[in-house]
Amino acid sequence: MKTKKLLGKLREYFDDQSRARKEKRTSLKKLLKKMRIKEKELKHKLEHERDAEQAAKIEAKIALLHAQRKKGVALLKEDDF
Amino acid sequence: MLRKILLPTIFALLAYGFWASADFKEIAAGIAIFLFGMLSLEEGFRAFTGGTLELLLRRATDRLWKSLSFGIVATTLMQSSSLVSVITISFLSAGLLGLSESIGVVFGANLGTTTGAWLVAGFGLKVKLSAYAMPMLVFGVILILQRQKALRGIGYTLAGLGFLFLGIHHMKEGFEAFKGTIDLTRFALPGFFGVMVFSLVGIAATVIMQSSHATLVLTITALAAEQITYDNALALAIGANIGTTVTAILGAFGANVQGRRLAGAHLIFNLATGAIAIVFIYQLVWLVDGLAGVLGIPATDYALKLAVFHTLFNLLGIVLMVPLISRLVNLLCRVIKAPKTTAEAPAHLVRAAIEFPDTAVEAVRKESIHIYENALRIITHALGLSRKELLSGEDLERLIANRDPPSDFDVDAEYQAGVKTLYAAVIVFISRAAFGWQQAQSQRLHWLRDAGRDLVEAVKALKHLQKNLLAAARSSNPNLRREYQRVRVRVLSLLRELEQIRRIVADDVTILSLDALKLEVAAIDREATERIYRLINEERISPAMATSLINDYGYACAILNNMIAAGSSIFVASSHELAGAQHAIRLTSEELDQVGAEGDHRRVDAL
Repeated sequence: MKTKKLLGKLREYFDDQSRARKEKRTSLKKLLKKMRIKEKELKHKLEHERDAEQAAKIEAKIALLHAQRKKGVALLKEDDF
Repeated sequence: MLRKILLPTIFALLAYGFWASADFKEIAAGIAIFLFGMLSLEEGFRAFTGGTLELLLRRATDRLWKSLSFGIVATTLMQSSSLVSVITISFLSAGLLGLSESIGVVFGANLGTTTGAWLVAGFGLKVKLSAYAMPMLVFGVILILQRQKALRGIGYTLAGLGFLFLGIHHMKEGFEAFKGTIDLTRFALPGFFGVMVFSLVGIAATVIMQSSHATLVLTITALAAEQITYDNALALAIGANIGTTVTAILGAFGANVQGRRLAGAHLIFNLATGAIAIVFIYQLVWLVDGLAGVLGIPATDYALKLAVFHTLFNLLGIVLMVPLISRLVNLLCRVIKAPKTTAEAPAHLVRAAIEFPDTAVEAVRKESIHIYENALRIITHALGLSRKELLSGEDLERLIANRDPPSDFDVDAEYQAGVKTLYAAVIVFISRAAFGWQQAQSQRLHWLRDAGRDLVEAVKALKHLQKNLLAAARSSNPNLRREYQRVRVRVLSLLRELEQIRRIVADDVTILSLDALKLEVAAIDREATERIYRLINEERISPAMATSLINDYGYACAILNNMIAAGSSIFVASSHELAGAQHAIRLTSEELDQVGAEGDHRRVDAL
């Protein structure tokens, strides 16, 4: 079993397409993590914002970031991404 | 004329040599096999470009000691300083590497290449290399036939090493057999005159074979077979070191000014070290003897002593030249001046950048930024503002309140010169570069090509808008004049935001905020339509004026959307995988509409 797993990993490494796919997924995961942090920062900023116009702008940014993040999470769930 | 007769003459001489001496034939075949091995090895390492090698080059060159070490290690592993030089020139031309760092890599490569002499003298002459060569060739060729790029790369590398070993074996055998028939030491030249003559022979041999490594191996095998004297072998090694700069100089012909400066640095370094080695040759020989004693090298092992000499004078060169790198950079910048870049001529699409996928992508990205800047200048100017004013923090409404758009500004001529010509150059460059590359780079080139088209569309939309802008400026209807002024303010203010994002793209998430700009464009369009309906109902503008206005807002939004779309592909310099991820989660216009609609609902609910 161990050898089989090792061979599988080796094959995966030498297969350009599957390696590229793996790297793309890893990048997306990292990006989504950064976006989550940014979203939290914006929410924190929104709580302390007094100006209504500025608050609306931040709210729009949060909504956008959230939609992008949702799209990213959905993409990660897809097998062929 | 010379070129025409050179090749047939060489062929005739070689043919005569082969007919006259079987041993000469074996040596020449050894050199040919060796050079073929070098080519195969280069091909093998090229398979690994497009990722690993570039990543290493970027990470390992931010400090001088790191770039020196990178040059040493990469050349030791690849056994080809030419490939390291070509990669460095390519990266430098694309702006991915600075001149000082590149000089560090090239200096390091000079030292790294001396390991070849150690390998041949210490290992190659003492072991039956052909025994290793055969299995390497068999495994190598089997791997070359594989589909996967990485396996093919390993195959070429293995076959390359196999051919190198086989070539050395044949050279060695040839010289051994030669010993019985002809004594080449008859041509030995003693003293300083000999040093000069054999240095020139070394230069010539390296220029012809395009490889200092080959000259050195030939020298070592001849030295081991006692066909040349130790003194003359040292001079040949010095000559090989100078001759190798020819490869870099040839590579620099296709490079930009930075590449030519690097070739200049390479030439100065090798000439200086060569001159030092020639002038102080007897002191160096004395030092080599001392070091050989310390390292336990027998006094009669001239081949290994030659390797020590080769390393020593290159090391001496590095020690002397490294403190002078900043002065060298200044000198090169003064002597080799950058040509004045114009808006009309491509500034980054140089031949050297096409060599490697990463450098090609970066060159296209930079040229796309060039087009973007030209497009931005054209749009800003046509709307009545200078680029400086756009980037200033001044109130846009106030700036253009009493200023009409310039009537004498020929958008079409500007488009032809500053956008279309460059876009055409990008297309030609991509068509030459894209073939057979990895998916990641090809995809980025595809996005960059689309970005170029977006910029073209943006300026074309401006052309349509300009006609009515100029007419409205002369209109007697104040409402219409005000509305067209609003169009200008809206476009300029969003372009200002876009420029701000371009200048502060600090993290990987900032670029995603371009989607927010798209939402703003949609809002501009929505608000404009509502206002125009109101103006018609209140009979402040005629229906004909209203339809023109609606069309022109459409053009204004097209300008903005195209500029934003182009920006989302060209503002990012991050890795291909990250760029791919960013591209994948960018929202489509339908998804953006949904986010916009949800925002509207939230606002209504809050009321």
